[in-house]
Amino acid sequence: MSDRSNQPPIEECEIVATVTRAFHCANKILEGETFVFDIKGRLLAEKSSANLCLGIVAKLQPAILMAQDRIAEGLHPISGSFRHFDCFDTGIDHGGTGKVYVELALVDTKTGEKVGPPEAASRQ
Amino acid sequence: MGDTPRRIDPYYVQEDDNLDEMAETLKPALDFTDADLARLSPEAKNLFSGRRHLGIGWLDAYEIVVTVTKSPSGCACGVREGQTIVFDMRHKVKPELSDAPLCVHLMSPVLSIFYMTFDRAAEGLNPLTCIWRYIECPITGTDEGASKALAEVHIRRADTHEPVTQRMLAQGAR
Repeated sequence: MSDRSNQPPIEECEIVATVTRAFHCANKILEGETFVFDIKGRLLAEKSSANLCLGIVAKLQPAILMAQDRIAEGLHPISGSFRHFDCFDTGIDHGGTGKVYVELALVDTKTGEKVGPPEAASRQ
Repeated sequence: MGDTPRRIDPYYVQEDDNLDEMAETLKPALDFTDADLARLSPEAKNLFSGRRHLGIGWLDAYEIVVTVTKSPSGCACGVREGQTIVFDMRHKVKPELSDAPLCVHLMSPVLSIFYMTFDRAAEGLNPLTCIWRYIECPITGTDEGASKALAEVHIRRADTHEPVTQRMLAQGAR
């Protein structure tokens, strides 16, 4: 079990999906833009810089559920194994049109800084 | 696929049809080149053929509205009866027209409806499914779902907000 005692309270954190790559996106989503969620899974339009496309937002719903599961277990909300996601469009070379890729991070709402996972040693 | 071209119903986009009449719209919208348009799959070309049937601007002509009809115990995300979430036809949330919390759990089931809108537009139909117009929060809880938020979905004109109820929207179709 990890120790979050030196980290901000989870209620004061947000889950941020940052676009790492995008191409042929009909919704004009660009690299570096963000989708910001609170811990309950509410998409915060005023804090997000990307167009709020359901094609990627819906893909993140299982990740939000997993974050809540990890919080209940006292773990860092963002799984090291499931941190990268892409949208439901299958891309121009696989019967679709474009593609958006994101990476999830936990962010302190007060400082805007990323909240990293606890040191690996503390998981022992 | 072999050397023989696939037989495609004439209503749909053929493999040698590169959507020339809408190319100047699609290229800037999707950062496409002519080569990109040519290499789109027939299925993706059908996706864009909705413009051929419903008009070049159909994606801007309508909106999908999710209206919360029940939230019996008040869900943890604050979704309440009567609130709405509005999407454009490219399945982007329009936060300025929405007054419900943009709950990822409640919104996610709407994506399936949007996939149907593109499929139905390619058939010349009203983009909104005639069947799957009810959604619910996927989180069941210990009360066997008794307190989950329920919502209905409808399509409206973006300019007047009038609901669109006719089955066939293809221009020139009866």
